[in-house]
Amino acid sequence: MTTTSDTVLVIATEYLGPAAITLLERQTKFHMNGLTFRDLEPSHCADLSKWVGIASAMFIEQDQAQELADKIKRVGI
Amino acid sequence: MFRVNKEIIFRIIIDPAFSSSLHEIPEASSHKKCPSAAWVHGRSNMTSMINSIMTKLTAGFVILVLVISGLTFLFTYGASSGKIQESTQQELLALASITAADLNGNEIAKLQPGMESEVLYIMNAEQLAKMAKSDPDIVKIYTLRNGSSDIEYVVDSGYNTGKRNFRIGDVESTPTGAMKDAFSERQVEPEFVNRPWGTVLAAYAPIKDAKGQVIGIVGVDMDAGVVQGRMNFVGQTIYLILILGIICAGLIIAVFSRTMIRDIHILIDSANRISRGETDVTISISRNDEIGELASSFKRMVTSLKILMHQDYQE
Repeated sequence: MTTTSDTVLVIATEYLGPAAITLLERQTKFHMNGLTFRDLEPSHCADLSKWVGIASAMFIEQDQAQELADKIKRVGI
Repeated sequence: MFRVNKEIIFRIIIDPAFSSSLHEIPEASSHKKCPSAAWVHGRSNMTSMINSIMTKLTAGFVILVLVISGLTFLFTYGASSGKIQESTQQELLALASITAADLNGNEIAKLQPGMESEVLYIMNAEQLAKMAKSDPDIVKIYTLRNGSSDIEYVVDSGYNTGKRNFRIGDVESTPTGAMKDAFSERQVEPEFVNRPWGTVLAAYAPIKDAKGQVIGIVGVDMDAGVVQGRMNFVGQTIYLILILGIICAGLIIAVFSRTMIRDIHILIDSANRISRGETDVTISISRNDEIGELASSFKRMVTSLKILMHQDYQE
């Protein structure tokens, strides 16, 4: 796990619970050219943020999903 | 049906205790009457209501308020009763002093047995009656002096009022300590005393002549019922305030606990829906207390479950 993936996982777990890793792994695998979440780098955060925002809105409220996406985006800055 | 039988057979083989328990079931059930479903349901509802946090909170709080209120009532009533008696004694002392100052000591000294129809007697008696009428709570005002051997009555407010009055020289059969001491300085009875006209609270003040010599005393009696009535009024007021306080406190805690229990019920309902496989469960509880924390944890758990239940959502 990279520092970036660790940080993103901690942030996402706050919103999505222990299954956050499942969602993050799926987002990187299916929407970021088969990237493994363990290898996440700051440069990937903007793209991941967009997909996490869309996917998490299926499970949590829209404003919460947007908040999570923003936090993930800020990790890459 | 086949699966159940298979399970039973399996348990009989591996669990001897289960096997032996099967023999007891028909025996026990044959002797016991099965309660009706309505009775069981009603009993279950009653048990749930008794075990409810709302019931426990409300009952506990009401009991606590009752205990505190009871102690407050006892303490407040005891303290206020003493103060009321004290203030009534002061009121009587003041009236006795005013009456004594109004009376002419020289005239009182002149009154001798047999002078009840003379103007001097009538004037003093009417003056006492006027003072007594000024306060409806006063039963009688009278004057006393030291006779040849005992304390004797001179004139009282009962003249021409139809109430019992004394003749000059009638002896006070049971003079109290306060009555005797009043010849030196004004006194009040520490407790209620029995008089021929009832149980009273009494105060006395010395009557002086033109030379400043004490020639007798004036007594002012207030009916014990009046004093008791004042005490009861305070007691009833405190009691009423406490009852209203208990009712308000009970209502407040009932509403408070109902709000709390409502959120817990939302969580229970959500958990049940999740357990039935429903995925469109949202929890809209926003609180800053422990229940709010529980709701946040529960939301995270539900979100995780949704993610796991929808693993194929984008595949």
